[in-house]
Amino acid sequence: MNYLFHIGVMLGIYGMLALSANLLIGFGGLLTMAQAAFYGLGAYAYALLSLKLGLPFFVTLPAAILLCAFVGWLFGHAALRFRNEAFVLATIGFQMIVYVTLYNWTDLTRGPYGISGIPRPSFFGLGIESVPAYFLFTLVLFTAVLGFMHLVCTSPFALSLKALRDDEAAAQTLGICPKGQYIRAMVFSAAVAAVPGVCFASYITYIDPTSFTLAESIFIACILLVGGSGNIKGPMAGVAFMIILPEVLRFVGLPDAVAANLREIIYGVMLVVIVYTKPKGLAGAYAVK
Amino acid sequence: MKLFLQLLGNGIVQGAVAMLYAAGFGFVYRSFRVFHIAMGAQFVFSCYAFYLCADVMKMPLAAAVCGALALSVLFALAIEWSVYRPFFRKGCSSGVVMIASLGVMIVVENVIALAFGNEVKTISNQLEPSVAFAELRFTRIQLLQFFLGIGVFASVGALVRFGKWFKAVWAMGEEPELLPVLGLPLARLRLMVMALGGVLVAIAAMLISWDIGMDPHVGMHYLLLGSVAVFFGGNDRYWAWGAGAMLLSILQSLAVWQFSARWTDLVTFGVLIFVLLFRPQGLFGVSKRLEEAK
Amino acid sequence: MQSNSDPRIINPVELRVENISKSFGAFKALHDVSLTVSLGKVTALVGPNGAGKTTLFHVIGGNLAPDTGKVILNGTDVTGLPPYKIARRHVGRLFQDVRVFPALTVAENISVSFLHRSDYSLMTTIAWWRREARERDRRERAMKWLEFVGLADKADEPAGELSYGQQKLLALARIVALRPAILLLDEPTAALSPAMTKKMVALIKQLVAEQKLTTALIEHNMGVVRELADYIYFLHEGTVHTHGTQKEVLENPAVRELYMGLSGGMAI
Repeated sequence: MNYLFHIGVMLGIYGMLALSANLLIGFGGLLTMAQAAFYGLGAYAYALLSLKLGLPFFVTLPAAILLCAFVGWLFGHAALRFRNEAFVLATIGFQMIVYVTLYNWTDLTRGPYGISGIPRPSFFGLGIESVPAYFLFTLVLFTAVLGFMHLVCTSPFALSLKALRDDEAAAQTLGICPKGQYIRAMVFSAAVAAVPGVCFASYITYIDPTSFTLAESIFIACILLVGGSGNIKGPMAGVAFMIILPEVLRFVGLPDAVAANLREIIYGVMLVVIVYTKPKGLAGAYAVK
Repeated sequence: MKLFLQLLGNGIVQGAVAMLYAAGFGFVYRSFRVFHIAMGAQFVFSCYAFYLCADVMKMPLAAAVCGALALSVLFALAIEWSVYRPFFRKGCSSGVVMIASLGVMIVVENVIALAFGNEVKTISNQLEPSVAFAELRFTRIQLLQFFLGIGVFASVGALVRFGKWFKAVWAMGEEPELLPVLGLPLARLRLMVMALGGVLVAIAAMLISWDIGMDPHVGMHYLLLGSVAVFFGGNDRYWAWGAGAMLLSILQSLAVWQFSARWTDLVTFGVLIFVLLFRPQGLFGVSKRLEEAK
Repeated sequence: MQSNSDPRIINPVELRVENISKSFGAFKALHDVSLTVSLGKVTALVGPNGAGKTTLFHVIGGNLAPDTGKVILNGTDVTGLPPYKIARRHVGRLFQDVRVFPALTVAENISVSFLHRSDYSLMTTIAWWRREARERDRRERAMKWLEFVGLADKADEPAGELSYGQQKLLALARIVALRPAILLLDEPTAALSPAMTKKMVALIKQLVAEQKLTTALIEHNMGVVRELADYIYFLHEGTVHTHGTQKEVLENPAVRELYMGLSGGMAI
C-alpha cells in the first residue's frame, strides 16, 4: 500500500514540475532545459535553511520560492535575449552551472555526499512522518499549485504570452513587451518549481546533486512534449504516462537494468513519433514550433 | 610554469580533437538549421563501432578503423533517411526536428547500453613510452590525436574553401528551397553533409575512446562541448568552429591549472553564457542583418 | 503611461521621417529619405520592389534601427524605440504577410490589443473575481470590432482556420482595436480576391474618415492607391524620387517610365 502512496507522491512532485515548465514551454513557446536547476535550488534551499538555521516549514517554503524567483529573474535577463536553439543552449548552460556548483561547493552543499537528515515538515508539533500522511501533504501542495497555475493560465498574462508565442513581431505591434512578459514567465516558472523541490527534499530526507541533472531537465521537457502543453490537461497526461509507464514495466517482470533502458527507449521513440504525427502531444493545446 | 605548459599542451591536443566533433556538429547545424543533438548519438555509436571491430571481433587496427568508419557513415545516413528527411519533407520547423533529434539521442544511447552494458569499456592499446619534448610529456595517442585532428580539420577546411559543392551546402542553410531551382540535388547534398559530419565525429570518437575508453552516456558531454564550441567561435564560419573548439579546450585545461578539474564545466558554460550575452554572433562570427523581426 | 485601450478618440498625430539612411552591408536600402505623413490624410508610398518601402516601415515601426536620420511623432523623436513602445505611442502597424495568432480564437486575437500593463500584476493574475468584469469588457469591445470587419460569427473559432482574406481583415481589426492615431499599412490588399480588396478598401476609407487617422500606405495596386491616397511619395532605389498629389505623381512621365514600365501588367 505504501508503494501506491509513494507513486502518488512522485506523481504530485512531477505534476508540479510539469506545470511549472508548462508556462515557459507551452505558453511562452520557449523550450527550457533548466527546470531541474530550479527544482534543485528549491530542494537545497529548504534542506540548508531547515538544517543549518532550524527554520520551520512555513518559513523555509516561502524562502525557497523567493530564492528561485530571484534567480529566475536574474537568469531571465540573460537567457531571454535569445530564442530557439540559442535559448535552449543558454538554459542548458545555466542547468550545468547550477549542477556543477551544487556538486563542487562542498563547504555549503557537501557536494557528492549530499545532505541527509532533512526534516519532514511539521505543523504545531505534529510531524508528517508516514508515507500516506506525506501523500496527503503532497496532494495539498499539488492542489495549491494546480489552482495557482489554473489562475495564471486563464489570466490576461497568459493571453499575452500565447500571443508572443504565436507571433512575437505581431504581438509587439500590439504593445506587448516580449522581454518583460517572458521574464515574468521565467520568474513564475522558477518560483513554482521550488515547491516540488521542497517537497522532494523533505520527502526523501536526503538530497544530492544527481537528482537535479540535465537529464532530469530533459525528462521534464519530455513530459510536456509527450503529454502536450499550453493547457492544464496536457502536462497532467504527460506526467501520468511518463511516471506510470516504468511501474507497468516493472510489473511485466523485466529485470531492473533492462527495464530502465527500455523505458528510456520508449520515451525516445515516443518523442520522435509524437512530434511527427501529433505535434500537440497527447492532450496539449500548443503545437511545438 | 612547467605545469602550465603541460596543461596548455594537453589543452591544445584536446582542442585538435574537439575541432573535429565541433565541425561534425557545425556542418549539420549550419546547413540543415537543425540543432543536431543526434551528434551525441553519432559519437557514442562510433565509439562502440570501433570497440566492436577492434576489441570484440579482434580485427587488425587498420581494418577496425575502416569498419568503424563505414558503420558510422551508415549510421549518419540512417538518421537522415529515417528521421531528418521525413521531417524536412513535412516542412517541420527547426524546433520540432531538434526534439526528434533528442529522441534519436535517447534511443541510441539506451540501445547501446542494453547491448554493451552501462560500464566503462576500453580498447586495448599499447601505451608505449610517452614522448618527451624538453620537460613536457605526451603519450603517443596524444600525438596521434593532435596531428590527425589538425590534419583532418585542415583538409576538410581546404575542401570547404575550394570545393564547389560546399558553396551549395552553405546556401542550403540560407534557402533550402532554392537548391532544386538552381538544379542542385538537395537530397544528395543532405546525405553528403550527414556522411561528412558522421566521418568527422567518428574520427574524433575513435581517437578519444582509444585513449580513455567509453560508456554509453558520453554522447551528451561531447554534444555539449561541440555545440558550445560552434556558438563560441561563431556558427557561420568553418574556421570559427575550429577556433572556438581550440580556445574552449585550452580554457578548460587552464581551468584545471587555476582551480581544479571539477570546475571545467563551469568554465565551459560560463564562457558560453558570456559569449552569448556580449557577442551573440560568436567570437569570430559576422553579425547578420535583421531581415524581418521574428 | 497612456492606456492602449483608452476609448476616447486620440488627437490626430503627424508622422515625419527625416534624412533616414539604412544600409545592409554594401546595399543601400534607404538613402537620405525624408517625408511627412500629414494629419488625418492617407499618404501612399509607391515604387518598384526593392525601393525600400517596407524597410522604411521597419524603421518607423522600430524593427530596424536606421544608420542615420530621425523618426518624429508629433514633434517627439522616437528613433530606435522598440516596436512595442512605438505601438504604445498609438502607431498601428499592419504587416505585409498575414500575422494573426493562429492558436488563439478570433475574439482573443482582438482582446490582445486591449491588454494593459495593469492586467499583468500578480494581483490581477490571481484574483479571478477582479478580472472577470474586465474580461467581459474586452470581449464586448472585441465583438464590436469583429462586427465592423464582419467576422463576428467566427468569434470563437481558432484564427488559424480562417481564410487568408479573413485573416487579413482580422489583422486590420486587431490593429484598429488599439485605437491608433497612425496607421502603417503594408500592402493591405496584396493577394486578396477582388471582392475582398473592395471590402478592405471600404473599411480603410471608413476608418480614416471617421477617426481622422493619419495613414501611411504601401500599395502596388494602383486602383487602391487612386481610391485612397491623398498624397503620394514615389520611392526608387532607396530615395524619394517624386512626391505630390495623385495627379502630379501618377502622370509624371519619369515615374511612368520607371515604375509602370518596369511592371508592365500593373493595373492602372
